[in-house]
Amino acid sequence: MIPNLIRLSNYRYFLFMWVVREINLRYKQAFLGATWAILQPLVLTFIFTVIFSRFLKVPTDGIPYPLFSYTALLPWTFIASSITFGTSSLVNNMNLVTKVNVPREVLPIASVGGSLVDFAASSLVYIGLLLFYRVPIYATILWIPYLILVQICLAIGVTLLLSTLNVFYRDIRFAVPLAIQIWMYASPVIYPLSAVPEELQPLYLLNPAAGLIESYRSVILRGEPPTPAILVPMTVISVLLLVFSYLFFKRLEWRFADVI
Amino acid sequence: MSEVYCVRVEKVDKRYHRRGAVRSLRSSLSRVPQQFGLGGPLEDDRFFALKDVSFSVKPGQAFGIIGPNGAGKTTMLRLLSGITRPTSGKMEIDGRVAAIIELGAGFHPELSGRENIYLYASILGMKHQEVKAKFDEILAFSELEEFLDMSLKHFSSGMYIRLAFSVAACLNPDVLLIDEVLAVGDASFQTKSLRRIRDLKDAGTAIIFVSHNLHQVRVLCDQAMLLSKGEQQAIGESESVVAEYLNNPRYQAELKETYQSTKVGDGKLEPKEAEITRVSLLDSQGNERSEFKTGESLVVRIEFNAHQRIDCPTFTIAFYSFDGTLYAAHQTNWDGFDIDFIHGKGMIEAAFDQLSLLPGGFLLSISISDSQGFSKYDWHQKSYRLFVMAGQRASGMIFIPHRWQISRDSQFDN
Repeated sequence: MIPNLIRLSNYRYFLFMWVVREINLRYKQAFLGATWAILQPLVLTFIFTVIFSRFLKVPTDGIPYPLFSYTALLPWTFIASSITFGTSSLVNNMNLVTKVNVPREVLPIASVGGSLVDFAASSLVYIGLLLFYRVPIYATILWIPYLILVQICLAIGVTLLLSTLNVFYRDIRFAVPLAIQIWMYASPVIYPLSAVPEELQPLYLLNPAAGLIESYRSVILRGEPPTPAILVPMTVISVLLLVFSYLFFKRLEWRFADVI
Repeated sequence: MSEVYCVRVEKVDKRYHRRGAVRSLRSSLSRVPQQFGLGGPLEDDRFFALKDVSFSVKPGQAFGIIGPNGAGKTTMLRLLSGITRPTSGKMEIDGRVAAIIELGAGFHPELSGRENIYLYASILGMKHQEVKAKFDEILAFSELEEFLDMSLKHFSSGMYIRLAFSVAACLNPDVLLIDEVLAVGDASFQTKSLRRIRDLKDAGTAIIFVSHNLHQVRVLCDQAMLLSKGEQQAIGESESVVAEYLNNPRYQAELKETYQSTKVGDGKLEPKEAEITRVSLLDSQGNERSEFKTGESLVVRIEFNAHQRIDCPTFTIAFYSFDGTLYAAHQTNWDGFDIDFIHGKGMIEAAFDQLSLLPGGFLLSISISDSQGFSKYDWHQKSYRLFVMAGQRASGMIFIPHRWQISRDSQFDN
């Protein structure tokens, strides 16, 4: 694992180039360009606000619904788009995988990198939203870098795993959009964690995305640090998943060129 | 002292699935019972892309891999570059490897030439600082300065190869793997590339060179290996391996097929006062053929039609190898064969009593020009195929007619 990581670090410039390429590729042909990055969570926030605070009264622990839902959609969109783009990253770059010897993990990781840039762009909108609702600045926002780190681990972990599987079984491509939807409903995006029955919460929090979203809400909107019951499972699971996926990826990497 | 090799390949096998290995989840699940030993054995549909291949290359050595299409040459390079692994056997490679396996793999057509230099260099494992430091050298070598900011999608394939080769060559790799690609560039860039490869070789880079261009292999490589259907047929000094390939009747059909896929004709002139109406290659019996053996007699017959009287015309026949090297050109006036005039239809023949070309594919250019041989009335450039088969055995570029004679000191006579 260590030599692999050293090799990956030697290719960090390649990774950087590939992230740039990924961003170019995502938005170059689109009329609205990079605006899409911001539009996606924004439109969802709007729809969720109409449905879940006008039609259905979803409890939000007293937080204005747009703020409540955008806080969740920000990390969620990052994870979902990382996976969507990342899953097909190996298969789509067949030419590179079969003809050049580079650390292949760069491709899925670059998809995550591209989504991270989108995440940064949407964060600017989020700051505007926070100012608009006059949310006070709590000291707990110092948790944010840690949360971003966990969120990156999680996204890379899932993406490495799915992109590998997609090389061998093209079924994955079809299963992913469905799985992402299910995963969203299994995470507190449209509803608060408090809506989940207390006795089910330990089980529920085994979903690292749930812990992550709840943590964002708590450190930004409520000024409370995440409780260990939330923090520990999401961190441990995200990191373990990353390590497992990386080893899995490296183990099968050499077969990609034969299969694609 | 044991010898230092930077590439060692020992008894390498590579097998692929015949039907391709992409499976659906369903077909994969249906194999589960068999994997646990239920319901009959798994059929093995794998074939050998490479079988029991061994060789080694020292720093500063060039190793050529030749053989017909589908022989496993590219598979070998993919194994060497680490893109995939052998099914069995051992491979050791020391140092930084740069591989040019497919033209433009890793280039991005939407990005500019400049961005692509950085991108490609990063794929070959160069760090940003290194690329920056070598950028000017790379650019100068590629001679693409004026296209630097043009999007790559407007590049020709020749420009692609210039860019790719320039980046790879300026990387100073320990091992350089090159597949065929040099065939794409124009002649002057090819020459330049070959010189660069030789410089790298002199500086200690090990070169592994896959090519259909046997002449290049002969000139560049010290050692070579002949692959056919994945098996190593011959290995050793490149000259003799190339000779084996060209002379062994086993490979004639494959060789011919390879040559036949090369395009004919660089274009024809719009005929002016005179035109070439027909060109035929004849054997000693007067039969038209396109295949001749080294040492056989060949007659090139040119039928022409001069629409007006032309005084002192000259006829030229030029023999090019398929890779574009001019082997020989013969012109009537150089040979002292002066033609006073031509008018109307006619025919001229050049007889080659003993064909000195060695096995390989050739293209003939035929032209009619003025007395100086400069301004051409009609010119069929590289338009006629001549395939030379193994006949008189020899190696090198041409067969020089010769006789041997031996004499011994009489004191050892019995």
